[in-house]
Amino acid sequence: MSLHKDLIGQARSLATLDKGKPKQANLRRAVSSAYYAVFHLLVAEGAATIGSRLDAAGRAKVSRAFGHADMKEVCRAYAKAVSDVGFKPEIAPLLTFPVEDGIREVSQVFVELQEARHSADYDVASKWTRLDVLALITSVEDAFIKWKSVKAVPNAKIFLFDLLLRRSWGRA
Amino acid sequence: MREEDVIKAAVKALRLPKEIKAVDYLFSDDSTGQPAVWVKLHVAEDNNPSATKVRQLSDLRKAVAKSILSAEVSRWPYVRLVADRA
Repeated sequence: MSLHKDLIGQARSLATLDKGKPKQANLRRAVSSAYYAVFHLLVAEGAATIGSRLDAAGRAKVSRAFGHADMKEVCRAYAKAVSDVGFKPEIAPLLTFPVEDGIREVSQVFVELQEARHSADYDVASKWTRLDVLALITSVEDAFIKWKSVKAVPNAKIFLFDLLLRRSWGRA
Repeated sequence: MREEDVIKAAVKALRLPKEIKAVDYLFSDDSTGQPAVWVKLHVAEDNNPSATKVRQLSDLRKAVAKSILSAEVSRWPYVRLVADRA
């Protein structure tokens, strides 16, 4: 099974592990696993697209080049991509607007989960509930299904390139 | 209209189910310094929620976020389900 599927399965297992009141540690690790499930889905898809002519070792190298902060910036733009507002003029002509709902949804979930992971890992004052965590996990699973239906469209390819190349490919 | 009011109006325009006891807002920057709003949907604490309830509230979270995103405000919506003890 792929890493992202294992991770979302792990998130669900952790969120439902305890009988009765769940331990905060298990809920926090569940949130973290759910974020990394989305992260590794996009990294794997990006590496497969960008490194389609490379062997597994080459694609692994490409995978290591993706960065969390850049990916969040890109996803913020694509989650709202009903028009070219917010896109660099060098990139906007490569896309067809509105961007497909599946791309917008996986982008939205990525931004949401990255912030949730930050809170789960570092904000000891925050309290997580099983309901909240399961709702987050469900939204990730929904995004996986939607992504599958759009991953082959031209906008999805541009999105994956953008995730990796945002800082450089707008150069003239 | 102020951005905070646009956001509240976007949430108010949705029909919230009876499970939502209250809604409150926190306007601040997120962990990467971007403007954000945390929309806290208060629900009763439930350590054994049904799949139907999880689905309903997951869909509601998405609907709230989409409503705010489509309002074209600068703040990013983070929607949380916050438990109120019975």
